[in-house]
Amino acid sequence: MSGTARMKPDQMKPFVEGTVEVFQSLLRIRLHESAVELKNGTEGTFDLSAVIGFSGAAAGSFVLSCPGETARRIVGRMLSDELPLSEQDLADGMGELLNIVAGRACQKLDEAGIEGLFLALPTVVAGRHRVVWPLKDLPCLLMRFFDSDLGPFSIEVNMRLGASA
Amino acid sequence: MRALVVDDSRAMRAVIRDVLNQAKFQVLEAGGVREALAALEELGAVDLALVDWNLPKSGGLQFVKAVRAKTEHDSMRLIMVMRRMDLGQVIQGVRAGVDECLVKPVTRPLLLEKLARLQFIRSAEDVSGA
Repeated sequence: MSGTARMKPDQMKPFVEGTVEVFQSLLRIRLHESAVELKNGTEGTFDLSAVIGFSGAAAGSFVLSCPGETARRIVGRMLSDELPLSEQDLADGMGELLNIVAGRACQKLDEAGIEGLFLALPTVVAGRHRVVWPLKDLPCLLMRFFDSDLGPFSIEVNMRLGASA
Repeated sequence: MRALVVDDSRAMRAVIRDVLNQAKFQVLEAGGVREALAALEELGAVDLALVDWNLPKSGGLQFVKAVRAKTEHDSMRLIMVMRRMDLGQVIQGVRAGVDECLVKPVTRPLLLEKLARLQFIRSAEDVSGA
């Protein structure tokens, strides 16, 4: 592996905990974790995905994917006002939510000794046929959240430790 | 206490507003520099302003320069919100009159830490979550 290490399922934990904590503090939603799955294929789990890359002490990507209706409920809850949501609001909201969750996950990784992670700017893509190419030979780990009253969504992590990109 | 949040993203304004409300701020919002300056003109001075560096058209720095050019806003504390830590931008901001810089993602602990540093709150622990 030339100085890099493959992702282990427990390294998904900071991302899961970050998601649960941010949804609770920002959206007042209590999430329940499900089992970590191995993602098959590269297409989106749902039809809207917010994607953020990271580099430094680890390299890879973090994705939050959900149906459009869930995204509308999430961003509506974030904005907590009665004004109609534009497509731009939706993209900004999902991107910012992912940014905050990724930031929290990075903080947890830092506390666990994986110091010096740098987040890229988040991107939001619509359509199930988006492809996030995983790092070569590395699995993409997936966790689905079904029991949120905002609707289903999932998070996906593809990460290589010790890499710098 | 009153705060003005200047950001073209409603989502970003909402995230910041949520934390400021918990810290007992009355929050005004603006989507750009012109709108922000008009709000100050109409509603009077505020104690704190959080300004996005990457505002469309004129950029957050223009807001800082405009505000610091007026003596009635001398006591206003200014926090510049940036996409990434860029020393050049920080120096430009501080020279123009920015008090603190905050790098996105804007999280509750990070913003409360800045509010404590500017002495709006005693400590982050004093502000209870909703």
